[in-house]
Amino acid sequence: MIEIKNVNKTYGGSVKAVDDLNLTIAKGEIFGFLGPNGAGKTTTIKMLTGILNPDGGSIKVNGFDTKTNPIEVKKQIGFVPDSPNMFLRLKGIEYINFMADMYDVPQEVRKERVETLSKRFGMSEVLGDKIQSYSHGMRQKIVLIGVLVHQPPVWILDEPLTGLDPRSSFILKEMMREHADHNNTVFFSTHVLEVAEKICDRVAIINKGKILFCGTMDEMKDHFKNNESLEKIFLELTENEE
Amino acid sequence: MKNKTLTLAKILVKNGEGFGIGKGKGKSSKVMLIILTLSLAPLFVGFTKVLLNIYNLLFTIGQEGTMISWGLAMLSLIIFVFGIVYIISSFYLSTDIENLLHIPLRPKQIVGAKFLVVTFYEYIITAFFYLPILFVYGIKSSAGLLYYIYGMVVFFLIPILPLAAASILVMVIMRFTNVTKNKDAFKLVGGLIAFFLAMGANVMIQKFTMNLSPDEVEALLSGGENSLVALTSGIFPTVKYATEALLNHQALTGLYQLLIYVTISIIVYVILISLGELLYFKGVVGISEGTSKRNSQKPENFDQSLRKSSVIKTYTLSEIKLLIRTPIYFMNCILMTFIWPVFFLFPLLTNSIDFSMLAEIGEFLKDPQWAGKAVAAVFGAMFFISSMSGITSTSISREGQGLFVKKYLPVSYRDQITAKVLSGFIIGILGMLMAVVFIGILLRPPIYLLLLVLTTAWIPILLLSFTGIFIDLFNPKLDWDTEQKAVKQNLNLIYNLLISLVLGGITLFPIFKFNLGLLSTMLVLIGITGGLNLLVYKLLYTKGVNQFAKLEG
Repeated sequence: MIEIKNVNKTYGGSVKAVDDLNLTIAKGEIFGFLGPNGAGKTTTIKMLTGILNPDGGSIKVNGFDTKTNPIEVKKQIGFVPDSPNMFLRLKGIEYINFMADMYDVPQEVRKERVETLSKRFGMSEVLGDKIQSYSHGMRQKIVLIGVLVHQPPVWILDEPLTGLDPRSSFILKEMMREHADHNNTVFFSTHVLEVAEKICDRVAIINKGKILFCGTMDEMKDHFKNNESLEKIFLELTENEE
Repeated sequence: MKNKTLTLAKILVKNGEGFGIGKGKGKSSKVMLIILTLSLAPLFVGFTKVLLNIYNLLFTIGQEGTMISWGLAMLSLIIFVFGIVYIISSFYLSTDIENLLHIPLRPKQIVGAKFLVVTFYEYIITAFFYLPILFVYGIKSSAGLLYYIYGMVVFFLIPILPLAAASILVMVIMRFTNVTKNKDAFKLVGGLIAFFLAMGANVMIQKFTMNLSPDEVEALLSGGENSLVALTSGIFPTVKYATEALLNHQALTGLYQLLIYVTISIIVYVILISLGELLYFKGVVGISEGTSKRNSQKPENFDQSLRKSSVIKTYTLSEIKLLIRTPIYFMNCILMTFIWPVFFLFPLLTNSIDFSMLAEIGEFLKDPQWAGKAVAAVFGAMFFISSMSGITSTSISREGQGLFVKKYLPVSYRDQITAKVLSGFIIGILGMLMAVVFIGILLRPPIYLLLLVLTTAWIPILLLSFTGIFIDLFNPKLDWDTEQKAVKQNLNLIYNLLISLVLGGITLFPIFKFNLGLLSTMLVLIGITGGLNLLVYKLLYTKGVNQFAKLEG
């Protein structure tokens, strides 16, 4: 469960990246965070994960406050950033074990989880290679495995499907559904409406730091009471403001 | 075409931002720049003084003009050697190349622009070495305005020939070999070669300049066929024209020589970009392809790789792994800690220092009166050496754009700082142990002396590890596109060096000033540095931790 209340973030004293944001994402749902480039999606995600400090407001993840209990919040979260270019000089397996140690994954379950996950993503054969030698998609997969190895209740994924091959993309979507069905939370950002339409229980649309709409896909369609394609609705949404 | 080359060069300079000073942060960085300039001033003054002596010495035998040819020859050599490393990283390994290759630019435009950028940065080194020579000679020989005008023309042309030579060499190697298949090993080997070349040159220069009498200098000059200077002037013929232009500035020959120099430089540049047109793309295209061998993971290895250990241990080890596996970090952080004995071995091997001298020093150390001073000297050296490693003073900067990862890990900033300090401390201790073994073998001091060193020398290493990360937390350089910028062009390393000089000075001052005995020396060393350690520790784990929390990835 994620609760974002009156959160603000201003860059360089003048640019309001996130403006009085309020969102509640319940357990058991896949929540899509939609918006054009520069809308404030990544800023919001960075505040959720502790990378950025909000200027004001509060964020709670499964009851823990990011301000008073940042470490507990971080333990609840599995975060897949938009760029997977990290720890390039570590081998895949070294990276996964690093993450497992950081998130305190018990020895007994570690091996089995890594085996299952790497098999599922087709990465078993390359775990001994340096991440540097991986393609973009493989790097994304190794980051995903590093996240999933600690079985976080809350998934936060920043543009997770960009760059994945169709098979891995399908697997990830399947896993997102499974995860949410186990009464967990999945929060992910995208600017592709189609993706959101297929897998999200609810969506929010953000533009210029403000939430323009929050609800189910059906509600969104009702809300605009016409049969035009979602793309068009989306365009309208983002253009009509201001 | 010319326009595109220049536009590209300008963009590259803007994007590269050089040493990252005077940008964005305004006042504080300007103050730091002033402090830095002031602290480099003594070095500059010292160099000028040496030049004055050399001038006077050469003047007695009527060969003062040699100072300019020597200076230019040495400078050309330095630019050439460091140019190789610089050119490789700028032409072939920099991350901006991928963004340039798909733009419809001709190879010679990219080569031209990159060459201009490297030349631009070489002017910093050139200014430091060349301007004192120019002015010392000019003032002492009361040269006129024309001399200085010629001097400035020469200034702008100096790097061109040696850098062009380095570029052509590199481009040929890249075109016809597969050396970049393993990029990291290639960088490391290249770096090591340049390092030892530079050290060799240093020893040679020392040999030339140490304790020479006028007679010897004359002998050296007359029989100079084999000298390094003659060799260098042979490789870089422009040195001759530049020197002649400056020395004969009053006569028409001076102008004539200068014009030859300018013409040659232009021709060299044209040759360079023409060769670039032929060679560059064939060497650079495909360089970013992944090249590691695929070897499937062995099951037994698999189990071992997944062993659980504590957060701090894993974090520290991963820091050290990355330091060792990243060639630039290895060269600047790890190697710096272990290379010191080599600095002493080098003169020994080249016979600049006698082995009998070592025995004498060894005898000295047996005298308890000197024991305290010896421990203090090693202690002082540890201050200096630990600050040079830069492991902690660049530990936040090295994270670069990836700092955000460390922000979302569920590991307290306190623990992360501890792990980073530990990585620097452990490497420092290993370096210290090696130095102790080295001293033990070479000087054969009494065992108790070595034990005293072992029990105290870790204190300054820890202190400088604390101060290093503290500085880096408050002034991290995160916006870089090549790893080189994170460590080599990072002022935090120099700030930590300055701090080490100040703190080391404070600690050693009373010992030498009041000629303290062994016991009081030990008390002073442990007392002052121990106290400083406590103080910086407190600061780091309060203000430093808060600062880490404030950093935004």
